[in-house]
Amino acid sequence: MASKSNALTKRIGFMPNRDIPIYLLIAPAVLLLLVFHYIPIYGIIIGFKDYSPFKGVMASNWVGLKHFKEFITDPTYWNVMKNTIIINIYSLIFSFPAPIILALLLNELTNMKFKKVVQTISYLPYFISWVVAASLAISILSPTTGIVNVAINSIFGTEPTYFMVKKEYFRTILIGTGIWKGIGMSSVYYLAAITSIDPTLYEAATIDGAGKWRQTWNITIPGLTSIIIVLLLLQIGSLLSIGFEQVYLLYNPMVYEVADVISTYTYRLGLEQAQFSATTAIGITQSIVNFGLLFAANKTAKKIAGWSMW
Amino acid sequence: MRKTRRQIALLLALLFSITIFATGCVVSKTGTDNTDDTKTTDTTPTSSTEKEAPKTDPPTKVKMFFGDAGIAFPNDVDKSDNPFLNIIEKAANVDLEMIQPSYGDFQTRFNLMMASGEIPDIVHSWFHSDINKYGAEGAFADWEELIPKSQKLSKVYTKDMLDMMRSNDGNVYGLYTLSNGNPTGTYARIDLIREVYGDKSPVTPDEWFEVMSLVKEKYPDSVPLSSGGGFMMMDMFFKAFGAQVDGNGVKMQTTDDDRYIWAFEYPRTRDAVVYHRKLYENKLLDETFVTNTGADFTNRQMEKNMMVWRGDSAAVLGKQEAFAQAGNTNALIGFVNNPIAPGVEPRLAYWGNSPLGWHIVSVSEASTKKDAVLRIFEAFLDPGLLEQISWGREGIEYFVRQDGSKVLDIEAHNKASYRNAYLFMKQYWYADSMDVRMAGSLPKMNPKVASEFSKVWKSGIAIRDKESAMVPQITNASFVPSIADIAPKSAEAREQSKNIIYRAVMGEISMEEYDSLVSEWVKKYKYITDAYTTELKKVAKERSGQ
Repeated sequence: MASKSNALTKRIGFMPNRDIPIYLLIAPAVLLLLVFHYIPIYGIIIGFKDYSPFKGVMASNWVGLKHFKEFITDPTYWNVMKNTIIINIYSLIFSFPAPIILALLLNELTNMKFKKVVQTISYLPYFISWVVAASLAISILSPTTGIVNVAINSIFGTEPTYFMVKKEYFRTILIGTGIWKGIGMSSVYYLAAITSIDPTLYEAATIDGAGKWRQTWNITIPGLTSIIIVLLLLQIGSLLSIGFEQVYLLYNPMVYEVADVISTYTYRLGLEQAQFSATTAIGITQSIVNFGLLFAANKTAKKIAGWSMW
Repeated sequence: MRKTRRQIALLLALLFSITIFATGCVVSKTGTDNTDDTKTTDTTPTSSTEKEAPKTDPPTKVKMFFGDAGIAFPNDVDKSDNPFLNIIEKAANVDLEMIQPSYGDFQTRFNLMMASGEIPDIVHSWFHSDINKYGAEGAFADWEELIPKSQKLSKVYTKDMLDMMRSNDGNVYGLYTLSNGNPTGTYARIDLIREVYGDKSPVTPDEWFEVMSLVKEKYPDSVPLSSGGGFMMMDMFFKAFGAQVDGNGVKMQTTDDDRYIWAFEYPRTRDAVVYHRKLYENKLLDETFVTNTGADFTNRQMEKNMMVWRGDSAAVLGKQEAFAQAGNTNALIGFVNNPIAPGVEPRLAYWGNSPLGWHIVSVSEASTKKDAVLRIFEAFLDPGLLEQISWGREGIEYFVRQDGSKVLDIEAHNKASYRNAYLFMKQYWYADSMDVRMAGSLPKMNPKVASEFSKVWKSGIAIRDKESAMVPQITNASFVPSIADIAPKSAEAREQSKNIIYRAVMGEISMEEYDSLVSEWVKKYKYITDAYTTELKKVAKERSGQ
């Protein structure tokens, strides 16, 4: 027993010649996290102060939970919180499965040339900035010159609809443009995971008489479970976060009620109104809730799928 | 080979680590270092002549955050070293380093700069509330202490003017630019009005409705009234009813008994909303006005017979020039009567001519170069230097005829038009600089159009100036400071107000629903106007000598 323990110690013990180069290789990544993600954490202190850039962090007045109380009692905050959660849930329902479906469909294509064309076309929007994508969406949906209205009008003969200012369409437009822009790139993760599935499984299934559907259901999808769970957990972990650019460029005062989300709210509060402490307080709350959600989702995944991130 | 690769990898890793560490720990140098300053500690009031630096002194390096107000600078022009900025630098014996973001980025860059706490010696902006807020936190020097140190500036800026610039802590953190004496007015497509309405001139909103309908009837593709997003640039038909509503939503306005109210509380705002609703229903107001961009606005002006908008005389000239460049020889632009509904006070319907401009300049409290800063503003306000900048260089941008008059070289003049950005302390388009601009614009037009335009220009300016004179230049409200704590809430209130007005104008809600939403809105934000009313009462009391 003692000799076994000594052998283990010897195997995992620190060996300068072997370990120093490895530590050195990992150092940039660790430093990156430390310098840009951990050291700045001390900045959350401004959420508890009336921070002024000209007084500095330490000299600004300590106000405790004042800013937390302020936003919690502000009805606008609860509305943006509600919008953020609703949009993220829609995104989980519609945007999350879309690239999985695309990857499964692409996987079934036998004509490689066609597959590559489809893949390229679906990737392209990812490389367009949101500024361009949003103005494209606004033009396409314009009531006067937009192709959508022209098509609807020529088919049904109805009056044009000003989609961008209708509350009932905003979330659909947001999710739709998000899927259009991101589906190609997101499907890459799943396609990569599919290629790592052992081809002999498909051969065996074919011999056993399994059709394409059965193979997809019993081989491909289980083969993707781990990557699906990781990405799902990450998305759940950011349930209170939505990319700022897309919403900011697509919304307008007519749809604030359903479109204003935490990131646009904090942008207005922080950058336009210079309320740095209030936005930090919101950021802290958001991070705590996101952490809790991630933790809970991870535990649930472990219970249900028997697989988790930690 | 394997060993070499390993060594390279380790070296790279080490290099990355050092870089990351260095990037994370670097402290940027602010513009307020005193290494170059030669005259920083003198606080004794002295005359301008005494302050002028002897030419033997090396120029003081000064950093300035500067907004070009959308005046395009060609790519090959150095924003910190060009012939026109050099006129100012030479006169003030300074070496200016200009931090000059593009116009579209200006506010974001301003916000980021202020959030960083690191500000250059001079900050030029048009964000009054922010400057007062940061000034109160110690970012900016009080101009009331600086002005007496310069005889020239003391002559230009009177006590009354400084009183109008005060923050609510009593200090002056932003020095306003001077008025250009070129107020805003309503201008229109005179050719279209003549075509459908004869020689009559529409004045009331109903008459304008008739004119716009006639144009739409004749040219069904027309968009007679449009905007650059929301009500941006089309507030004249709200003002016609006395309602102060613009691209940023409802504004605060004053009553005859010295109170502030929100435009929503002003009874005729509802009439203005109903009027716009009628315009929208009849497709006279752009269907996509809510999401319009500047490009859409220009498209409606140039391609869709947009009839009426507002601006100063530079805007009128610029638009006529744009039509000339586009080869449109029919379009004729000029000031017309501001629309006004019966019974509305002219002070609410017309644009006035304030003694001050709306841009402001501030000096970093931490700057050790305040004397150099004063010399810079003396130069930016010097009539002789401004004339030099306005006309450009003799033999390049202009030539002198034998009779002594100046004539522009149009190509060179156009190429160097960025020089107008340095006229900001007189709010750009004051009378003399407009003369230069006119001399540069008329030759670009078809001679017949140019002749007709000159006639319309003169009569239009007379109309605009007459109406502008009906608005008091200085009122008690001119002396009410912006309240820094409330300013953010005021911005939020105005933003939220847009939703109610847009929905009512587009017929998304009934006017009864509008009334109910307005009443809720007013209840929520009335504390803001109440706070300003308290300040206004104080000012009224002080000014009446009680």
